[in-house]
Amino acid sequence: MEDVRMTVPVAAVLRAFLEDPRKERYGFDLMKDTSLKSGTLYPILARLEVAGWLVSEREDIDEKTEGRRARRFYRISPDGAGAARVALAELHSQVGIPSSSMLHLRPLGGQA
Amino acid sequence: MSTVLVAAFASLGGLVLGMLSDMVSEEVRARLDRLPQAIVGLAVLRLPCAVRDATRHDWLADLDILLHGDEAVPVTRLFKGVSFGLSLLFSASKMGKELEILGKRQREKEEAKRIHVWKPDPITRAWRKTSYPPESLIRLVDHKMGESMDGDILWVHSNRFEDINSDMCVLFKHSGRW
Repeated sequence: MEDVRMTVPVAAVLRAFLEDPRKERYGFDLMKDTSLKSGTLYPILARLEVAGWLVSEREDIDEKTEGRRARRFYRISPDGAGAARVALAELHSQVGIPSSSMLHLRPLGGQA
Repeated sequence: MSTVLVAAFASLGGLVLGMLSDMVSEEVRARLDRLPQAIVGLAVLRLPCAVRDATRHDWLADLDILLHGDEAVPVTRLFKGVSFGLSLLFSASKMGKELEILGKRQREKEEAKRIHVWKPDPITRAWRKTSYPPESLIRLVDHKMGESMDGDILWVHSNRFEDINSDMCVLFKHSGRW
C-alpha cells in the first residue's frame, strides 16, 4: 500500500467509497455523487488504484446482448478502506473541522 | 387554373421544405451526438499507446451511460457529453503514468492466468509445453480434442502430430490468438 496525497477531491472520492465499502462504484455514479468532473475523477481513481486503495474490474456482460459497452467498476480494497479512514480522520483534524461537517464538503471542481 | 397550380406548387414546396428541414435537423443531431465521442477519442490520443484501447473503452462506456440516461434530453446531453470529453482532454496527460502501471499489472495478471498446453513441435516432433489464454483451453475441451488434467495441463488425445497440429491451429484461429 502506497501513500496517497490527500486533497479535498480525493477525500470526496474516498468518502463515497466508504459509505458502503462493498458496493461497486462506476465512474459516472462517482461523478454524480462527488460532483467532480471527469478530468478530476479519473486521475484520482487511477492514482488510488495504483496505490492499492482501490481495485477495479470490467463488467462481465455480453456487450452485443446488452447493447452497450462493459463498464469498469471500482471497489475499495480492505486495506484501502482502513487507510482511507485514517487519512480522512487526519485530514479532518488538520483542517480543524468536525468530521460530521467535513463529510458534507463538496469540492469546487479544482484539481486533485 | 393558374391559382390552383400556384397553390399546388406552394403545398408541394412546403412539404419538400418541411422534409428537408427534418432531414437537416436529424443530420445535425446525429453529428452533434458524435462530438463527445470524438473529444474522448482526442483525449485518449494524449495517453501512452499501450493503454489507449482499454482506456478508450472504459471512458466511452461511461459516456454512453451519461448520454443515454434518464436526463438525456438533446441539449443537456450535448452539454454534458462535451463537458465530459473536454475535462478528460485537459487532464489526460496527468494520468498517463498511472494508467501505464495499471495496464502493465493487468497484462501480468492475464499472463498468470494462461494455461499450459502440451503441443507437438512441428520441427522436432517432440511434445512442448506452451501457454495459451484460458478461452483457448475451453475450446479444445469443448471440441473433445483434449482434457484438463493436473489443474491446468491439457493432454491432447492423439498420436498423430500433423492432425493435432492442424486442428489446434484451426481452433486457436477461432479464438483469435493464433
